[in-house]
Amino acid sequence: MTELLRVSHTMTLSWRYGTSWYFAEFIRALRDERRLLGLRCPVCRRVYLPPRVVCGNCYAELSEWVEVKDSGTVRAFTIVHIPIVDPTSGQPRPTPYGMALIQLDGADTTLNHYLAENNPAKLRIGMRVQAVWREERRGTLSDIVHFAAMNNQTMNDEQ
Amino acid sequence: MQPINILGVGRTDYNPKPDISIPEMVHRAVQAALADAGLTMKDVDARVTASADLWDGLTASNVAITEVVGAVMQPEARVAGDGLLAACHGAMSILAGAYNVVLVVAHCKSSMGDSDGITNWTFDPIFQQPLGLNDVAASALQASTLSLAPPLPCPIADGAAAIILSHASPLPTPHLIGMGWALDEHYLGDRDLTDSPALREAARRAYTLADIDDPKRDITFVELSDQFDYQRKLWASVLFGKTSEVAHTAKTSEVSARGVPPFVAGLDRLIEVVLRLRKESGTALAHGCWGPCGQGQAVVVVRQ
Amino acid sequence: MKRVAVIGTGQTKHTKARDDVSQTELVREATTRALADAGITIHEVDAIVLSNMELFEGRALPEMWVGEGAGGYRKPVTKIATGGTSGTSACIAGYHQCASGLFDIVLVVGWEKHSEGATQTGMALTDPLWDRNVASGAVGNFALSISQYVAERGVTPQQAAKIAVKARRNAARNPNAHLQMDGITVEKVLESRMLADPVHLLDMCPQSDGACAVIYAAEDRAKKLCPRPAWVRAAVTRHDQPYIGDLDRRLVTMRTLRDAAREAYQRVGISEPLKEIDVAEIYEPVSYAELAWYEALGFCAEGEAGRLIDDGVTEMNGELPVNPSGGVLSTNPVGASGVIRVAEAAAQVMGRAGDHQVADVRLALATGYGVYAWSDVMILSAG
Ligand SMILES: [Zn+2]
Repeated sequence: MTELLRVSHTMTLSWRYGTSWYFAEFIRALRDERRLLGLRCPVCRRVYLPPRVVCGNCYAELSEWVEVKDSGTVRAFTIVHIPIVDPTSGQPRPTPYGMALIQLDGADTTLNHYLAENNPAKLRIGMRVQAVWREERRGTLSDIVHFAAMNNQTMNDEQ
Repeated sequence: MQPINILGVGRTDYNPKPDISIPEMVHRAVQAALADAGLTMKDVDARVTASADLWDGLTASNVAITEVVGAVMQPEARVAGDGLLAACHGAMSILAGAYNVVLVVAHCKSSMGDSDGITNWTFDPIFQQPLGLNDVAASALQASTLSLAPPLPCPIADGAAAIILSHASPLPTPHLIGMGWALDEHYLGDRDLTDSPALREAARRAYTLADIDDPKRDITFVELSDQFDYQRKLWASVLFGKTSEVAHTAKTSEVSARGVPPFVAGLDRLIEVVLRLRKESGTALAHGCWGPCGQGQAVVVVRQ
Repeated sequence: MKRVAVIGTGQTKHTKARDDVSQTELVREATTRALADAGITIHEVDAIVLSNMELFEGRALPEMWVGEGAGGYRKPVTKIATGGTSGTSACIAGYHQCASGLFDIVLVVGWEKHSEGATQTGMALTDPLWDRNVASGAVGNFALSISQYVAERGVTPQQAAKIAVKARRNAARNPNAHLQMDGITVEKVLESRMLADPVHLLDMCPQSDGACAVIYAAEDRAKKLCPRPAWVRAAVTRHDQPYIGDLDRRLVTMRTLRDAAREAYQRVGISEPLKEIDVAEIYEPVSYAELAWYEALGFCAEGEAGRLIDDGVTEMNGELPVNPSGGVLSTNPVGASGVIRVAEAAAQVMGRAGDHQVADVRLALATGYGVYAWSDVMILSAG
């Protein structure tokens, strides 16, 4: 029988994504002032991160900026053990690393980000964490390196 | 078929919008369509969206627009193709009795990426893609079979279009009375590029539903998707016959779809038809096409 | 709505890599089998709906090339793509097109050939301004939501592992299933590599090459062509907000599936799903998700999902067998996976599920899951 063949193609495409005013403002505050901003829904009062055009629950346009703190509460966590491609580098991220859904103080949504801790015994839902920032901010969410337990008290539950 | 009412239409302009996000762009078109129909999002039962992942640089590209099309905790189907096809599917789901009011939305920002690079990936990966074919090259081949000069590349265009369909309307609105769509063969060497059997089939289906025996007589005007300049003549000749080309292309509008983004163009043609039928009565044809040399074809007939 | 039924289904053998066929040929294989099952020829098919997530293979408008495999030339072809729910959404779209009265016979084909592309790269094309800052992947995101579900419901790794074992034992009786794991045990699942706490390798679905087709017929044709058609009784879609952080404890609440099931049950008149439904084919990308879906689908009270699997209620010989086919945990060609759920549910109603047939199926449930929390629900019945 004839040997089967595979035809190879490599895709190299690039895109330029437009941000609109809401993301531009979020990034400006993050980069220039090290502040995090959310948008509050005029109907349900939910504070959204990331900022966006409308609250999907209410189909209401958003325009009221609210300052959100860079501290928050862990609502979910995991330790990743397999190499997953880091979209910022295109390379697999060294394992193991901690990851969490963090509800920032003042926000109603959670933020998916890295944890400084990768020992599951030292993590729990409800623990308080603080953002650790990169020295030179470039204007991306990656300017937050990861979140670390507040005051080195890993078991410090939210009040 | 039972006529489907077109309650409202809305669209953005199609100038390049490098700074505008896809959700915000789509939001503008949706808001315009709701305002035109005098409806709120609460009146909409379901949505059919049309977009293309590789153009958006996003997997499952309708994820980005869930909120602005009002799809949170609501039904949405997403057609990976031209917006006119999405309109046909929306009409089908109304005919099925599944929904009463359907919002149809199409978007594309061709300024985001490299159309020539992307359209190379629409050709089969084994025989045609390695030849470096893309939409412009394939259209040049098609133009040459028609003894025409190579076409100009499509202008960069960004935008969104939306229409609202319903099985009933309190007001006399233009209504969709026929539709058809079809796919042609893929390999360019298998096709007679001077013809379009898929368009002929799409039109035949639409005419049957609309009870049109003689399209030359019964169709008042036509809006064609002419992404490349030569295509207007080609599609018109397929629809109305080469012998009387001049007479019947006269029915085609002077409003070109060149400069309307891919995947939006067909829905934009339908909007153009609806706007004109609000001013003058008649029976109009809206045309959409997608894929290499118009491999996919859709026809919608609207009457007022 | 007009009555529409599934009158035939067809699948390929699902495997890690089908090097012997192109995507077009893969689709043709499933199509040919479905036509034979329905006892019709391609000439009787009025319209075609396709399902595929093209960025996993790195294609654009793949139906242009692959449509031929479904007999699509000169016919109305519509391609649906909504992430994991693509297949079920294509089945719902095909149902609507058939119920429109314009088409008598509609063919739905879903396919994915993961071996031809870079699935992780395709998956990574999320919101560039937000999600692409974190290497989370599908596994990491599931693990996050699972940590909330475990904390609130107290389900154990053993209970999740039992789901994984059930799927693979059922798959052993399904010749089309991808993973064939003789002697799979709870211990083997728990000993398998940890991907992201608490998700082990064997808790997750594989990536498969495969295609699946479903054929619908309008009432008159269905009655003539099929001795026991699977009638569509409900088809409901719910989408949700775009970011994982928008969703309140997504596995715990799973509001889309809860609401879609509620509406579907209402239409059919189901008040006690566990008792009334005879078989379910649900889209469970990870073992823990199946437990969460039990609650959202009303098979048990909140917090009772672990007990359901402990008591064997959803095993092949239980009160409500869930995923006799082996489910997504055994076979996952993404664009086909939702079509497989509907095809398997229909085959159970038609009495054509072979060695994994459940006895006396009158009412079958199929679900789709995709993106972070989108859901489709379909209910099929005999008569
Ligand atoms: Zn709100």
